[in-house]
Amino acid sequence: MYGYWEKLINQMDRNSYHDENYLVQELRKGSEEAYGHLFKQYHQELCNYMAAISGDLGLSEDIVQQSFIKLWSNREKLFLKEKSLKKYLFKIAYNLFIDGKRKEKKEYELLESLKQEAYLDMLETDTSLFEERLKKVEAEIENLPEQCKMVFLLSKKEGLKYKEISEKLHISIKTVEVHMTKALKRLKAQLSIFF
Amino acid sequence: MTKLDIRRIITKYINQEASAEEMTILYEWVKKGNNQEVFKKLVQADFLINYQNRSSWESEEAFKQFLETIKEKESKKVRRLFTDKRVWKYAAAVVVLLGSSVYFMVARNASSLTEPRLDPNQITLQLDNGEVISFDPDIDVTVKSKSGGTVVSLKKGVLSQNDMADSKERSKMNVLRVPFGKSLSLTLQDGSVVMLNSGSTLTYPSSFAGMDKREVRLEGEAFFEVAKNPEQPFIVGTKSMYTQVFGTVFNISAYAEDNVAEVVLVEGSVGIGSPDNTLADNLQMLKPSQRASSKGEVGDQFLIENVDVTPYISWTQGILSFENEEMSEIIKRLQRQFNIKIVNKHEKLGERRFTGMFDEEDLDRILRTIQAHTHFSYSKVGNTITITEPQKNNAYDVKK
Repeated sequence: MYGYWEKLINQMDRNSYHDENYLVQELRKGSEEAYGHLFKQYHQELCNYMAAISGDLGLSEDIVQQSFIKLWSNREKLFLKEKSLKKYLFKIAYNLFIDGKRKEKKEYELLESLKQEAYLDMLETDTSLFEERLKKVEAEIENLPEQCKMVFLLSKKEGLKYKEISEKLHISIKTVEVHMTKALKRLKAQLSIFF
Repeated sequence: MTKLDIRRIITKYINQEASAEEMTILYEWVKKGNNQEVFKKLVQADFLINYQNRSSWESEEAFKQFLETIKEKESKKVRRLFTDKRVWKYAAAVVVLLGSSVYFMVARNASSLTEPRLDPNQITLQLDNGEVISFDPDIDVTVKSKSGGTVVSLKKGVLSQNDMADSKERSKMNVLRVPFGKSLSLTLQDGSVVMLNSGSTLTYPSSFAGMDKREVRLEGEAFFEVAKNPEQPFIVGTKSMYTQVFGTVFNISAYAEDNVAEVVLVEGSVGIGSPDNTLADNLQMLKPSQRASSKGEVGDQFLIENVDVTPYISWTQGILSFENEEMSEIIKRLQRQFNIKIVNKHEKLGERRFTGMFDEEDLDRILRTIQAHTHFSYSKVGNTITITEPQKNNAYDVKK
């Protein structure tokens, strides 16, 4: 029933969708092939991004799906500069994510927009550099002092709150804060050669 | 504030552990010097920590669902007649609202006396020989007038009319009436397209040949896509407004029961004047995204202001849109859209203003959405909805 995916793979050979201007033009027309290409190109990556930001896989998938639909709904107004399609999609997704959260305070808004800028900068780095950074971070986590690493992994991999970590490890919340701050600082320092 | 303190706060913020107080400190700090960059770097480091290269996402399945969703969205918009982007390229929207409720009542009664054969719930086309043809917007038909002089056909919600080439009796005054709860498109002889909204009447000639102007009259609301022809200006007349179109597309709404006359231009060029003063020099020109409005009386001055045009033309896409509109005005629009009578016995509610968009939803959904923002009760009996102040639930007090 849905032959588009298969058709799409053949389409890849024709190469034309790699020209982003052409892709945008076809997306504006509502071409299903073009949307298929868009999915193929960005769906995985966008899901990974949103998962890193939201920490919720199901939510990430939903948000990404809504973003594609939103792009389709607004396709007639789609006018983009070269190489900005990924950013555009990401912005839609990020805004959908933020819309779902409370944001009545201006503090919150400024910090959130700075966060968005930080993520957008990441989108621009090319894949090999991005992978390199990921490996660097992974290695540095391994190198963290024992208790610092334990606290850090409980927070980041197990998703525990500071309070839960303090109870689990019988340490004060202050100590958890110190370990977390130290870990992030060290990881950032490792990355700074790239930035 | 030491460096360590602020790092501790940023780390807490990133991990969603920061208190309101810490958020305020962070906000003040981040505004200074190069601090934004420091903040962003820490966010990026955290992003990389959280990032995992998963390839288990169901992209193919997501794409299938995407196709289903967009197809569903498309089919819900059968009433959406301007599916191609052409409309947005030219779109000039002119909205004219006029009259008073008293005038409306009188006019409706008068018409029911003189035209007893018109079914008020049907889309009807009255030719100038008095013949009346009824249409169902969902059923395609082609009808020849009894005299054989003109052929009217309805295809996919778009009406068109062709005079027989040898016919001497040109239909000069066709009256197309679209009842409440319905809408219809019409292609004029010059190729211009008019989409009529619920409860609207358009008077037009079946051919503009040999005329120095293309003139139509409107009561209600319509979206016009006018074929370019500088030799023959296109004019839309309403009770209190004269709109001359300079080759473009626009939307007019001129409901007798509304108290404002207004014109909104999306793109292109339109001149507005009073019906008693239509010399080109006296027309006020509108720029795109401008709205001209008056109280709806002949000879009134027009107030011109800049607006967001979207809410004024969203009805052509099957979307009901309100922009800071009083509930009493919203009620009028709901009545037209859903062909229903709404009695509001909750006076304060009538003055409250709402902003919102509804895409092909039913009336219950819309009322419930508004209810979520303000308290009122409503009940439906037959074709009438009555809005009342909320029922006070005293059950709890009684128990006490």
